[in-house]
Order: sequence, then structure tokens, then C-alpha cells
Amino acid sequence: MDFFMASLPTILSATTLSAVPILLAALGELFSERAGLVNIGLEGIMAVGAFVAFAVGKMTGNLWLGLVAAMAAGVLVNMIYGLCTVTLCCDQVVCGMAINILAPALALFGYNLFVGSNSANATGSLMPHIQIPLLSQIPLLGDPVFGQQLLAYLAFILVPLIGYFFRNFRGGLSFRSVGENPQAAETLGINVVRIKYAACVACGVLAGAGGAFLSICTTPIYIDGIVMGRGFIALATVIFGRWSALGIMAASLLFGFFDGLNVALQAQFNASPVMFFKMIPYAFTIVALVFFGSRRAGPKANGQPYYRESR
Amino acid sequence: MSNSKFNKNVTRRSAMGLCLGAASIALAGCGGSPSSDAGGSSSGSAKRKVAMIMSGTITDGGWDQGHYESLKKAIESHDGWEMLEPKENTADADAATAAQSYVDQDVDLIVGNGNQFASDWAEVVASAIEDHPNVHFLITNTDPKSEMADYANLDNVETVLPDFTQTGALAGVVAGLMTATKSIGFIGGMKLPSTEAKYAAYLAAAQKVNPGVTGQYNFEAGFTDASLGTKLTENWINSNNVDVMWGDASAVDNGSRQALAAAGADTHFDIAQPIDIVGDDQPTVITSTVTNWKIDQAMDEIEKGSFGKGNTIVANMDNGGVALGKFSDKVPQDIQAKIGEYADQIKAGSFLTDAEIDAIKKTL
Amino acid sequence: MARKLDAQESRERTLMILTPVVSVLLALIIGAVIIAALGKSPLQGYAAMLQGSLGTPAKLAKTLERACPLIFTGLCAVFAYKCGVFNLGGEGQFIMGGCVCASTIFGLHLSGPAGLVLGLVAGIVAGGVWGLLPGVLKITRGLNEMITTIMFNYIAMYFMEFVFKNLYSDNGLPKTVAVPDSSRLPGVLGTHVGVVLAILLAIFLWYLIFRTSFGFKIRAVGMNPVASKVSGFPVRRLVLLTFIMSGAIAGMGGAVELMGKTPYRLADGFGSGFGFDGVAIALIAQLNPIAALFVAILFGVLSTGGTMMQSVIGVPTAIVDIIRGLIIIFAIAGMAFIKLPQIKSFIESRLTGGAGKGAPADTPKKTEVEA
Repeated sequence: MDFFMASLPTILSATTLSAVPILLAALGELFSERAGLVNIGLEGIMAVGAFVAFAVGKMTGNLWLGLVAAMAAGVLVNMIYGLCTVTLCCDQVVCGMAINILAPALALFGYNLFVGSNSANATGSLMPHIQIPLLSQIPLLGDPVFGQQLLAYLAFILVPLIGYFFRNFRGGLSFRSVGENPQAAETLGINVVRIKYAACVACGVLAGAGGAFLSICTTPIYIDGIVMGRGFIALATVIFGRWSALGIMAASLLFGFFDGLNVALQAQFNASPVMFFKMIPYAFTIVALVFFGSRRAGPKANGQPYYRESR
Repeated sequence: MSNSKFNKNVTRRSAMGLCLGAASIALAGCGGSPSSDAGGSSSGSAKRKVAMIMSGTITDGGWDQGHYESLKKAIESHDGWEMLEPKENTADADAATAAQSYVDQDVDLIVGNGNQFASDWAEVVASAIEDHPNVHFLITNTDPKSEMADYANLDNVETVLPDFTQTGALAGVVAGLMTATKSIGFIGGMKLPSTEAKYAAYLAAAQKVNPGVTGQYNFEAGFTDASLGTKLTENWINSNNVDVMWGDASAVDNGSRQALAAAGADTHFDIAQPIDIVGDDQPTVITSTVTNWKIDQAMDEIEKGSFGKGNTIVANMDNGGVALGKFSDKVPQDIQAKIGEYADQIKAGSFLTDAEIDAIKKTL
Repeated sequence: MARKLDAQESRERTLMILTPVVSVLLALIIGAVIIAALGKSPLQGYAAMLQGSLGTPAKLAKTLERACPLIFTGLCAVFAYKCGVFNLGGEGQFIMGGCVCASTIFGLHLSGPAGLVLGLVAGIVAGGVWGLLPGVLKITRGLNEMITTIMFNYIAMYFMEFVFKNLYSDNGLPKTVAVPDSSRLPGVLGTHVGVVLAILLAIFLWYLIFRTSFGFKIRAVGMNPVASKVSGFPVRRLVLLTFIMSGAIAGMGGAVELMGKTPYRLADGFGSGFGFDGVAIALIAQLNPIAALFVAILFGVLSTGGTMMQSVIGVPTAIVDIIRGLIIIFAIAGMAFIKLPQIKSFIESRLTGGAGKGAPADTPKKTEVEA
């Protein structure tokens, strides 16, 4: 318990640091799945986002440009997925897998060209932390919650906005009807294909931003394998969060907490076999799904191709 | 019959591909020219060739970059040699094939960056002795006694082993003299005997110059997850008051520096490894322990014909294999002078006793 | 009518075989464009690729050896997907196969044929168990196996670290001691007998899936679980069995890789990436075990030959990965496209009576892809 109390502040700040990229990608996935598209290519999109944000940020010296470029690149990559799944009605899992193999290779190739043997290009810069006056002085929670980078604040601000969008906006409701029953949606005059492409754009933007967070907010470098399975964790948080923005935020924070716990254990119990600590976030994900991953939740037409002809 | 159709298909799709390619090339054009300095095919003369195979990239800020810079230095001092484009991102499953591909090209020297190659190359090396006797293998960070039992014949193989005790002691002296909180940390990528040896000497040396110093360590941080470095270091700063870090884990060290900088670069310091990166863009780095992998010596031996027999090239302070890099101005002059005195003792082998190091090793 | 249906069917089959071939060619051409854009010679590169992977019997043997684990993980995916189980955990099951095989041999101090046989069995069992876990979670809690299997991959990876760093470490190095000489898979024609095992397994699975009533049930569940349940098939049991068998195939692959290939040890990177490659192989092979065999060998060629190409012309490693990714995308997009306007082209072929127009039907794809 001593260990836990002593480590708590660090665990909490690690929580938000770990949670934000997962949160962003998972929110993207939320759009996708709400429109009936299971996109397991998040991992690949994040890799591209991380590289492009790093490279453009380094080149222009403006990290926000890097972020925007990462979002655009995320959309570009996800359009391959959209094209295959929406227009060609390919299997969604299959396309996602293909993206996961292709996209990191593109990112690595870009890295080879951009950095090559020029080590001066290998390190970029990071977004500054912004301490919100007074609030960041709150003991324990102050710094982790109110001492983050702007992109992290934006991610958390997005949560209620997206939740509100899906609940109250016409567009959000269209999304939901496409995910629940595309045939019925079509008869109501909703352009299913357009909604699905819109979902792909949103997913690409957010997953690209999630990847960008890794290379412009966490560490100022890009390295092959930087995403480290976060895209897959994001997929799990969507299920765990029961397809609601708020639930997803809670799930990614909980995941972040366990990741922080893993690091704290690694830091304090040096001599023990630390690989078992490293398992914690993944094992926790499974346990969480066992208890909270309902089998009937989620959009009904999720994962199914939509053939317009079969109306 | 359908060829023309396919061609049409090709042009349109490849146009898409071209756009992507062109975009990334444009990126590169702005950023810096891709590495074309290698493999100079213009020199028609029979230069000897050297190839390097690595798991990461030559700009990883650590392990592989250190090897690449050692290789560049060796090439600069050896006119009769040229290097091929280094082979980056080599997966373990392809490590043997990668070596074989250079054997097939009759490359004179193949350098493998790290002992992971020692276990993968046994077959390739064995067959090369017969088919390509002029091909030599240099595997770094490998102890032939304990790690090359799979090799039937070591006639064309040598290894490089830096003097880990010297490296660790140099870093430890700096850390011990610079820490204000008597608390230092170390992150290693992989739990190797060399990692433990380095850390043991590091802590022993720090305690010798500053009694009562305590150490935190992690030997299994890997070489890629930079955010792990940030979080680990942050934890140590908060829980253990660590104010000096030394790293041996490439990208993870970079993450560690972010945490140090966030805690205040005037009071929290990093000792870099294995390349000299002191500079304005690294506010926390006060000095570096630099390793030169002595590829130049291997080249000399090949020229003289004395290379092989499973010999080990020891890289130490005597032959420039191990050294401290530049100091940043955060290290006061008097401390720099003291470090210099201790460094002389370390070089002479009179600084740390084996017992002192073993005492630390026992606690790991 | 019947004759036309046959024609339609054979045309479709031709297309299904043609599509992956065209995809490979396309991906290679794009690869060539990239290589040329880097100022290197694609012809020289591809020549080196072929020479390096198939040029001599010894190189061919190495290519087969490289393809061997991919055959296993590919078959693992094929079998699972036939039953509608999206097992993305081939890598974890492969790794656990290797881990338990190693633990059995080193833990019981086995050597000789006993070590070989028990090690192989242990690997198969371990893979099966590692496949069973997500299966149970799916059946009892309805958890999506795509996510659980990936999580189990990570757990297996860290467990393997424990095995090679803490349990059977070689002198404190991060690798296990080597499998004793007498327990290694015997060599055959420059490669190891595991390759033969893999090929036999592919043939066996083809027979099992397409020629037995068990295989029929598996396929029926994969196509329509609800209808299968109505027909009285024990759907849950079949799904669970599929998880186990698919895991066991991958686990066997892990044991074979450990006992068949240098360095005969577990170490960092063992099995890394094989699971997802296996998934890609299964999909390009359109879930046909025999086709998976050939696609896996193609992947082997790309790996060994690609390595050769990189070192000869000096291009980044990522190019081969890009080519691989493109092959997958082109193949699945192409095949989906062929299936997509099935009805349309069927009617068209009936109206015009134009069977045998294989290639033209292929062309609209391109406009579609760009749309």
C-alpha cells in the first residue's frame, strides 16, 4: 500500500499520457462502428499519423501543421479502407488487416526518406504543457488533469461533443440508423454510402491525431513500431465503453491507469520479472471485457457489408 | 490477350502509387537528402567492402547510430575500403538471409550490431568458410566463450567487447559528482550480462565518489517504447528523487530525457550513450559515454591477414573504444577536473575493485 | 442453362485465380516504380530477388524454411475463418507452441526422438489451449475473438520473455539454451522435415475441409451459423473445436520452428509478425489450404529474396513490406470486386451469351477503384 500511495501521483499522470492516444483513436473507431464499419486498421493509421506529424512538424517547425497533416494522412490511408469496404464491400476485418500491414511500411519508408542517414532530422519537438492556473494546484489530480498539452485537452473536450452529436444531432442519428439498419435508413432517405464515407473520414482524422499524439506530445521522435498495439487497445475500449463517447473515455482512462500501474511496478520492483507487469494492461483488457463487454451491445449491422442492390 | 488491359490497370494504379511515392519523396527533399553517400560505385578500383546489419535504424539515437558512426569513422581512416548501404530494420527471422546476401556479394567484412546476430549466423558463417573464405564476420557485444558455442569454426569470425566496467565507471563518476539528491537511475533495453555489468560499475563508481548514493534501474525497457522511458523516469523522479539518469536503450532514453526536462533541466541531468549528443537541442544531457566499436581495428587486421580465430577486440579507454564525450556547461570546471582525475584512475584500472562491482551485482 | 452456369462458374474460378496473380504483378510494378524513383534499377533488384530466393537449390531450401512458419500460421487462419472464427491470435498460439515445446524439452531434460516427439506434442497442445481461451470467452461471454486473440498475443509474447530470460536462459543471456542436437528435426534436401510436415498438413486440411462431413459442418457454420443451428449442427461445439484446432496448427508451427531452424532457441523476436502474415496469406489464398501453401511460399520468396534485393541495390527494407501490403489490398479488393456485381454480370452473360469474357469483366474494377 505504501508503494501505491507513493506512486499514485505518477500513476495518475501516466494515466492521462497513456489514455489520450487511445482515446482519440477509439473515438475515431466510434464513428466508424456507429456507421457499421469495424475498422481494425487503427494501428496502421496511427503509425502513419505519428510519422507524418513528426515529419511535417519537424519540416515546418509548426506542430499544429504536423497535426493537421497527420489527420489528412490518416484520412488518406483510411480511404483505402473505405473504398474497399464501402464501395467494393470487402470483408472489413480483412481490409483492416491489410491496412495494418501496409500503413506502417509506408510510414517506415517515409521515415527512411525523410531521416535517412541525416540524424539531425531524427529528433523533432514537443507541444508544451499548459498549466491551468489554480486548477493545476489541486493536490494529486491537479497536475495530471490540468497540466496537459493542448491536444490532450482537445481530446477530452471532444468526448462530450461527440456524445452530444450522436444523441441529439440529425447527422448523429443518421449515423446510428446506418449502423443499426442500413436498409431502413436508406428508405428514410439517408445516403448510406455517404454516411459510411463520412465515418471513414472522421475515423481517419481522429486515429491520425491519436498517432500524432505519440510523436509530437509524448516523445519527439518517430520509430518503427511506435504504436505498440495501442490501436488494438482502442478497439477494445470501444466495446468496453459500450459504443458511447463517455464510456470510451472511462475505458481509456482505466486502461491508462493500468498502464501507469505497470510502469510504477516496473520502476519500484526492479529485480522482479517485469514481463509480468507488462502483461497487466493486456490482461486487464481481457478481464474488463469479460465483466463488461456485453455481447448484445453495439450497432446491429456492425461489420456487415452493405449492398445497395439488396435493398 | 489481356495484357493491354492489365497495362492500363497498371498505369492508373501505379499513378496512385506514384503520387504517394512522390509525396514522400517531396518530404525527403525538403528534409534532407537520403543516404546516398554509401556504396560509392564510382570508384572502379578494387576497394574492400564492408556491410553493416542492424535491428534498428542508423538514426535511433543510440545503439545502431553508435555502430554506424564507428563505421563511418573507420571508413574515413581507411582509403582502401568502402561501405555498402547499411541494412536497417532487420527482423530476426531475416537476419541469416541478410548475412547470406552479403556473403554472396563477396563483401570483405560483415558487421552484425549486437549479440542477437551471434545466434542467428552460425550456419551462414560455417558455410561461408568453405565457399567464401575472404568474407569476414564481426559481431559486436558478444563474448565468444559463452555465446558462440553453436559455431563449429571461428576462423573468419571476431567479436567486439567494450570494457563495460570502464563505461559504467565513467558514467558513475559523473553521476555521483552531479547528483544533488544522492539518487541516480539507469534504463537498459535488454537484460544482458553487459547491461548488468555496466550498471554495477555505474552504481559502484557513483557510491565511491559520493557515498550513500542509491540507484534505480530497469533492464527490460526495450529499445522502442519512448513513452515508457518518460513514465519510468517520472516515477523515479517523484518517488525516489532521482536527478541523474544514464541510459542504454536508444529511443527509450529519449523518452527519459523528456521527463528530466519536464522536471527542470537545470537540476535534472542525463548522461547519454553510446554517441556524443551534448548540444543545445538536448538541454538535459551533460555528457555522453561514447563507445567506438573498433571496426577500424578489424579492417587493419583483415588487411594484415590476422583477422579471425574467434578473437575478441576489446574496446577500452586505451584504444579509444570507450571515452567520455563533451561536457555541457552545466558541469562546473572543478567537477570536470575531478572527473578527469577519476577517468585516469579508471583507465589505469585502479579505481574500482572487482569486489566492489560484484557486491552490487549480487543485489540485482 | 446448365452449360452456361458451368461456364459462369469456371469463368469465376479463373478470375479468382487470376486476381491474386494480377495483384502480385501490380504490387511488384508499383514496387519497381518506387525503386526507380529512388534512382536504383528495379530490374537488377528483382533479378537479385529471384536469384536470392530461388537461384540455387540451397537458396530454395532456405526460402522454404522461411516460408514454413508462415504455412502453419496461414493454415491456422484458413481453418478458423472457414468456420467464421476470426482468429488473429496465430502469433500468440505459435509463440506458446514454441514456449511449451521448449519448456518440455528443457524442463524434463529430454533429448533424442523422445524430445522431438514430446516437444512437438507439447507445442500442439499448448497452441490448442491458447486458442481455446478466446474460444471459451466467445462462447460464454460473447467476446469478440479479434480483440481477445490480439490481447493474448501480447500476453504470450511477454510469457515467452519469461521463458527465455528467467526459466531457461543461456548463461543469463536473453535466449534459451539450444534444443539438443538429437532432438532437432532431421534435415531433408537442405531444409528441415518440418517443411514436409507443413505441406502434408495443408493437404490433410484441404481434405478435411472439403471432403469430409466434419469439414462440411465447419463450412456451414462459417457461412451461416443460424441456419446451421436450425439444421441441428452443434454450432457452439464446432466453433470451440475450430478455435482449438486452429490454435493447435499454429502451436505446431511454433514447435517446428523451434526444433527445425537455426538457432534452435527462443529469443526476442521469435514468431514476430508471423500471425498477421498468416492472416494475409489465408485471405489471398481465399481460404484454400493448398493455395495458402503457395501464397506462404510467395511470402517466403518476398522475405528472403527481398532481403537479397535490398542489399544488392541498397534500398530501404520497407519497400518489401509495402509490396506485401499492396498485394493484400489488391487481392482482396479485386476479389471483392469480382464478387460484387455477380448478379449483374450473371444476367449480362445470360443476355449476351458471352461466356469466356474473363478479362473484360476484370476491367471495370479500375475505374471503381479510383472512384
